[in-house]
Amino acid sequence: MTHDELISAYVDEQLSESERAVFENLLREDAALQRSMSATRFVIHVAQQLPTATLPHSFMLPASMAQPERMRFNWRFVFRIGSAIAAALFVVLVGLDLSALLPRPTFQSAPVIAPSPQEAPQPVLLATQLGIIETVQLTGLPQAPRSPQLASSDSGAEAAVTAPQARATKSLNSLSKLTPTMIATAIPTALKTAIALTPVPTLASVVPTDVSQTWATWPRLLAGLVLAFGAVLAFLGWRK
Amino acid sequence: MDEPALIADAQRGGRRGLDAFNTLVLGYQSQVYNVAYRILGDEATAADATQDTFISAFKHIQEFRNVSNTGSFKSFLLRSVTNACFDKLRYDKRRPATSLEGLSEGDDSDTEPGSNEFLPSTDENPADAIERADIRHHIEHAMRLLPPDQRAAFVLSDLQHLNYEEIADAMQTSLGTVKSRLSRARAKLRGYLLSQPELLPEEYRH
Repeated sequence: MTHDELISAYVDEQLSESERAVFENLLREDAALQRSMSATRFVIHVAQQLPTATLPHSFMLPASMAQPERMRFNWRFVFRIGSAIAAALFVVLVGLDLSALLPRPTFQSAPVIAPSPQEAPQPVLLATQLGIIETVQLTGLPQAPRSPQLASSDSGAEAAVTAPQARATKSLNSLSKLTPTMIATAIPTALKTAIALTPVPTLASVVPTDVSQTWATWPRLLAGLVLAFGAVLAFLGWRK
Repeated sequence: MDEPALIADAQRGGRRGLDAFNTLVLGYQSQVYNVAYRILGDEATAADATQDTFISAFKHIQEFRNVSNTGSFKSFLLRSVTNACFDKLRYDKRRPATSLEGLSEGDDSDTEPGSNEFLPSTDENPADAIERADIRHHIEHAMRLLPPDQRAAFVLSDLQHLNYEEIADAMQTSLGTVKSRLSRARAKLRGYLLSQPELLPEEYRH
């Protein structure tokens, strides 16, 4: 800063503590700076004493300048009310959603129907049929229903699967004897069979049969929409 | 004066809106006119600039959004009047004209605009009053010699007591520019007074 800027900033108390200390040291040592400072203070003092100029006339605008009255639509009010309604709706819908989680006696869940033995894939039996694994059973797991054809065709394996003992029997005697060529041919066949036996999802299987589930879904969708709508209104109200 | 309510009424238009705006005019016209007068140094041009400022403010009152911020209307007016003054000065620079009034004024301070304000009051020593009036006259004269941007900064700061931020807002410039213009204006006025030391009181001559 130049000396003029320092003097001006000092008079207006715009210098920092350190700048002011440095400047006051300069003032004590420099008589010319003191003179400039005194003269600047005097100029400001005189300027502040200048009389207020009297108005030549009033500057009020004439009645002919009146503009047609505007019917102002209070958008801010509309947005505020809108966002308040949206907030209330959101609370109601969230409440409905939460109430749907409670037990609802009027809506009975449809009984779960177990897939028929023909529809369900039976990987263990499949592997057994293919000769890869003789028997694999883990104790405690639910027994898979067996088709009558498979049960009759493999009575030895049936006996092993239905064994009452709580132990895992791993008879991999055939597996150790298999050559890589045999495995290479057996695996694709097993996969094809598994795919063929896997039930194709239908509309009935995708749409939940439990009515209470649909009841719990639509309030969430609506609550989301209402929340978004309320946020837009609140933003517009804030902008206005 | 409930400024936000008056601005809101003025924005509604109609006769009531005009009345509300005129209430605002009554509150600010002296300050706006004085700024214009000190920047332009001429009563008639200052009156024109002041009228232009209020007409422009009335026409654009619908665009004035910051109603709730007290003091912002004052900033709005000061910005408008500063711009109006610069416009007048630019116009005069393009079309210089010799004032007939100026020819008859000479150096007599009594004929200067507003110079009747310098007449001594009855409770003051006549010699002191004359000396004081003489100093004021010289300061006013020196102010007119300043470049318009420096003069405007000096008027807004030392006559209207605006802070640096308000001056920067009114002049639509940066704080640094305001500080620079103000310091240069004060330095020039100081130099003018120091060139005539007889004008300075004894305590300022050391």
